This record gives sequence, structure tokens and C-alpha cells, in this order.
Amino acid sequence: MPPASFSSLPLEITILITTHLAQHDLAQCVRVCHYWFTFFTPSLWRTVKADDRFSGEEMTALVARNAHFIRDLELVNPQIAKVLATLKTEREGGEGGGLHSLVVSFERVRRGPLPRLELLPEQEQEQAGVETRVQSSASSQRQQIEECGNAQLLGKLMRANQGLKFVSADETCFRNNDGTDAFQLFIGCCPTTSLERLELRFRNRPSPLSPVADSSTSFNDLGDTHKELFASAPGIPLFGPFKVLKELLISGGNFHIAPQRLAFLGRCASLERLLLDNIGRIPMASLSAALRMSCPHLSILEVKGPNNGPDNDLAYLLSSAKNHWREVSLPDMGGFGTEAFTILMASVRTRLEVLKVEGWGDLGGTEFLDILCSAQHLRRLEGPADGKAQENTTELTIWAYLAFRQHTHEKDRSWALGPSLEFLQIWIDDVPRPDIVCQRDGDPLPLDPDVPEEAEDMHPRYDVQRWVYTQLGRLTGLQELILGVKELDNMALLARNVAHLSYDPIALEGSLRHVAPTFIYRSLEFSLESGLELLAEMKELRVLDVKSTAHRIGVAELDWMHVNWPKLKEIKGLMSKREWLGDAEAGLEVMGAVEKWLDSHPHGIGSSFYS
Amino acid sequence: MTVILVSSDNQDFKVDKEVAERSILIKNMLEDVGESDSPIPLPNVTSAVLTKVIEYCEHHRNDPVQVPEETDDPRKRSNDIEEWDMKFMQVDQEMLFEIILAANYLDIKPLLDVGCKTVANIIKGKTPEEIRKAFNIVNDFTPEEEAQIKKENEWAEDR
Repeated sequence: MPPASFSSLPLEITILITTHLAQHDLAQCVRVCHYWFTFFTPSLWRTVKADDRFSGEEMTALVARNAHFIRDLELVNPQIAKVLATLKTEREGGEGGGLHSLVVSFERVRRGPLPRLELLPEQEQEQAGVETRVQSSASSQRQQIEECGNAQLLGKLMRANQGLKFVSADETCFRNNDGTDAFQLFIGCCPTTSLERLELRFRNRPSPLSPVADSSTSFNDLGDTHKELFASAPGIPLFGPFKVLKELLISGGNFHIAPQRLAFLGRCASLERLLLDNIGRIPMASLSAALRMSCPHLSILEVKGPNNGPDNDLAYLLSSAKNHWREVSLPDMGGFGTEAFTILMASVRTRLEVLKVEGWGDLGGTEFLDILCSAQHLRRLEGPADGKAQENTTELTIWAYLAFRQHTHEKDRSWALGPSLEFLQIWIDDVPRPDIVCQRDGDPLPLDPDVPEEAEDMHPRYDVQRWVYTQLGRLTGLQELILGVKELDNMALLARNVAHLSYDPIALEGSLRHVAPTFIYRSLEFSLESGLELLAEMKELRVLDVKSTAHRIGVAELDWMHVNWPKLKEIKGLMSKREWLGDAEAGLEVMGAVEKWLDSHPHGIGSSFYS
Repeated sequence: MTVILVSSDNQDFKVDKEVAERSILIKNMLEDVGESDSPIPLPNVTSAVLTKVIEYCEHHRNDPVQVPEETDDPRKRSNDIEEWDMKFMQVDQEMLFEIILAANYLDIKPLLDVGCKTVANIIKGKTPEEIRKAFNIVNDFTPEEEAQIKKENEWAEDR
């Protein structure tokens, strides 16, 4: 057997190697030798950004020659669009190749107010100094070009690539050369059998060309709009339904999403996921109505970018899912209020599995407790993302004392969360702490006047904490538990009203200490003494983050976790200064013991990691 | 429970079942055979290569089973290699390719992945001439062909 070398690898492995290489490296590979040229050329041409580097006769010929390798195309240069559109039409009905994804924007070559297919040859010569251009059919070409706008061209290209799974286009693709709306043409040409994801990038500024802004509050005449569309777009094949379109991304569009444009949602019955990025307020009402009416399977919502709309805007958006949401992810929405919350709760009670909200607006502990007491199906519950929250934001915080009092005096406040929950990020605040172990510079920190201490004799030591642990203890499927906020930076913390947060004081910089001295004994204690053993059934727990608790994890706790949580791999927030213990010396002693313990368990915390 | 693997040069390797089952091929074989002490012959793998492969499987015995990547675009995948794996892969090229072939045959996807990434890392950032040198490849292009291909691929170069 000859020694193994690059050429002894089977084809499927070599292809695997090419997937780890960037375009630049693939361009080097094809220059190595004939064999490598043949082998790497398809990979090199798999992903192409067709911009102004592809100008001139030679380059267009090159594209034509390698077009059948292209799977993922980013199109900026209309000249190339034309080459490919023509070419693909000729190849129609050929092998199962063709484009898989297409991202288009002709913005960069727009000149003047109207998006244009391309400059006429003589103009282009003036502008770019290009001279080598075949002029033989210049006049017929010009005629073609004049008749043919971006939208038509793109339509042709898409119809020639019926295997497209992803199409992304912007406003420059939705206009005819005379400025009239070509959105329906664009939508009409999207492949109906293969398209899985569609991205529409509208612009977020008013334009004289834009259709009338959609200011209606209801959208009940979808059928009529459909008829209008067909009347206004003769020659377009009758639109069939998008068979596998599951994901719709819309970005921008405070003025551009007219009801007429939304009519295509009537063909998107299989839509499951909606992603909105930087979308304006205006289209919310009609967008929501259209989705509710046309997309019964819509169940996943992800919103990005700033949204300063009022509560009812968000309420509109949240009511777009006819059969409630399975997953909801929202940015920091200042306007989040009771109306939106009421609609969100309908999903929480029925089927919501994932809830991520970066900012909760005016909402607070009472509402969050309602979520915890109603959400049976949750898998993930996440609070604000790291450091992104604004000053006016409240957290996913449970006011433990209040909840406990309600539970014992008024109504059942048991959490509905159960074994399905895999990820929980939460702050437990206002926990009466019977032990004042927290000291600063040797002095005990002041008592919190808001929280009754056990001196009132209402509840024995650790009652509230044990109640919280009892609730947590039901989460037997939990894989990651974060008590507090992940890696909140100091600047973000300063920007908030920190006095309301229960935050682990240990990690705070000295400059912040004076702002938030009360954190220490208002937060949940994490120790065997305070109820840790009530979490014994969390057999799936892999990651524990206790940064925002006044944890007292010592060797006894580690031993307990080691026995009870076989899958635990990581504890975050474990290593910190131990001032809370009372004095630095005792703290160091515990830290030393903990480090020693960890050293003697090299395979992790959980018992299954060594034998 | 242990399993005996036999390399192509007839050497026996006694390994924990858990370790051997990192190879999907062996895992399936064991499942088919059921409880049995009979050694498993691996006629495509030499003892030198098998030693390395077992070393890898020992180190990764507790890794969670890899979930298939959902992303359609493989280039979005991370090219990072763990430190231990990186050191593990510091072998001569012949051994590197042998390990890749063995990982492919034994169906150990994470090892195959690391191998492919290692080869990709050798290629990365090199000029065609440096690549030829690295893999001992003869340049069979004429200067004209070379110039032509270079020109045609300028669009793919970093700008």
C-alpha cells in the first residue's frame, strides 16, 4: 500500500475539507495543479458574490462557464443577473442543480431615483472606462434592457431556479423601471415548491415612490385585495401556494408594507416562523391581521432591533398567531405593558415552550409570577440579555417574600413550571435572610427596612427560602439554572436602578459597593442550610450559575451536589472573594478548601465523571 | 466490560466497551453480535494508527453524542480545534491521512472532523507554491495556464 497522502482520501472526505476553507483559500487551491483545479473549482464557485468585480465580457463569460456550480449567490451586479437569467432558462429542466440561496440588492448600481437594470453600454463606457464590449447586437440588447427591469430579470432568474430554498431581496427588486410597484411580480416568481425561507428587506424611510402608508387598523378584505392584485398584474401566472415556506424574515418597512403587499401571506399557509428586524410601528396592525387570517401554523416569533411602539403595537404583533406561540423572543421593548402581556399569557397558558425577553418595560414581579404559575410547557425561560437592558427595564425577578405571603395568606402561588423546563434564568429578590453573614470592612451591613426579619416571628428561619426551593425542586428536567444575570458588566449595572436588584455583591467593583449594599442579604442564599437539599431531584442539571445569589458553597455543598447531581459539569460564580462569610480570613479558608476539593475531582463535579 | 480489537497486523488491543463504542462501526457490530467475547478484526487499520485512534477515544470517552449540525452552510461552522485535539493531531502527514481514513472507516465523526479541520488549517493562508510544498505536489501548469487561472480567480481574493 502506498503511503497515505492527500490524493488517497476518498472524494467525500476531501469535500468535507473544502467546507472548512474560505473563498480566498479555495482560490489558491485551484492554482496548485490540474487535479486540484478540477477538484476545487466546484467548491470555489459554490458561493459567489456577484458584484462589480464581475464586469466586462471576459468575466461574464467566466460566470456563464461556471454558473452550474453556483449554489449560493449574492447578487449586486445586474449584468450578472442577466447572464445567469438567460443561461438558466436554457438549462431549465436540466439536472437537479441550480441555486439554493439567492440574496439580491441592486442598491449599489442605482443611479438616479429609479433602480435600473444597468446602464446602457455607451454610458457605462463613459463612467467606468470599459471599452471591450461586444457591440454587435447593441441595439437589440438596449431594447431588451429597456423593457426589462430588475424585478423582471430577477423573476426570470428565480423561475429558472426552481430549487431555490432561500431568497432575500430588498426594495430595489420590488420596482419596475418606471417606478411602479413590482412586488407582486417578484412574489409571483418565487419558486413555490422549494422555497423554505423568504427575506424581505424594506426600507425604513419615506420615499416619494412608496405606496400609501398602511394606517388601517383592520385587514378584513384579503379576498378583494387578491382580486385587485390579479387585475393589476396581467401576465403573471396564477399564484400557487408556497408549499414549504416555513420562515419569513422582514426587515425595515415602516412605510413600505402596504396591505397589497401583504396579500401574498394568503399563499403562505405553512408559515411557522416569523422574524422581524427593525420593523416600524405602522405595519403592525395589518401584518398581524394578515398573519392571523392566513398562517394557522405560525408559532415562532423573533423580533430584533429597537421597537419603541406602545403597548398595543406589541399586543397587535403578539396576536398574529392564531393558534398561539410556541416560541417568543423579544428585544428590550420599552412599551411592553399589560395589554401585550395579556395576549402573551394566552400562549403561556396553552403551549409556550420558549420565552426570551430582553426588557420587560413596565412589567414587574407580579406578572412574572403569573408566568411561572401558568406556564406548564416551558422549556426555556430567559431574562434580559447581557448588559443590553436599558435603565427603565425590570428583570425577570421574583419578589420572594411577597410571593410567599400571597401563597400562605391569599392564593396558591405554586409554580406551574415542571419537568419540561430545561433552562431557567431568574432573579430571586427580597428574600428575608435570617443570618447576617455579610460584612463590609468588618461591620455588618444594615438591615433592609422593607423586608421583615424573623424577629416578627411570622416565619421560622429560612421558610421563604425553602418555599422558593420547593418550587425550584419540581424542575426535574432542568439542565441549566442561572440565578441572576449572566455576565452583567458594571457600566450596564450603573445604568440601571441597581438598588432594586439583588445582585451578588462579591463580583462588584468597589465603586459599585456603595450603590448596592443591600443586595447581599436580600438575595437567595445557596446552601444546604437554606434548602439546597430540596433540589435533589434535578438529575439533569449540567450548569449552575449562582453569581447573583449570596451563595455559601463550601465543601459540604460540593459533596452534596457531587452525589445528587450526576450530570453537573460546571458551576459558575463559584470562585469569588469570600468577604460575605464575615471576615476575609474565614473566606479564604473556605475558598482554599473548595479549590482543594476541585483539584481532587479532575473530571468535574458530577459523580459520573470519574470512577 | 472490555472489548478486544485486532489491527491489520494482528495485534490485540483491549479497550473499555465505552471507549470502543465511540466508533459507530464497532458500536453497531457489538449491538448486532450481542454479548460476546470474540475479538473484533479491523483489517483496514494498522496497529500504529489504532493506537492513536484509541488514545483519542479514551480522551473523549465522556463527550456527549454529537448532534448533527443543522446549518446548511458548512462554512459557518467553527474551525476551532480544542487544544488537546490540536496536540493530538501534531503527527506527520502520512499518519494524519491514515487517522482520517481510519476515522472514516470506523465512523468516528468528531475525529474525522478534527482531521479535516487540521488538513484545512494546513492549506489556510498559504500560496499555491506553499501548498504544493506542504503536500508534495508537482506543478503541472504551464506559465500561461497559471497566469490565466490566477486572473480568472481574482474575484475570490480578499480585497
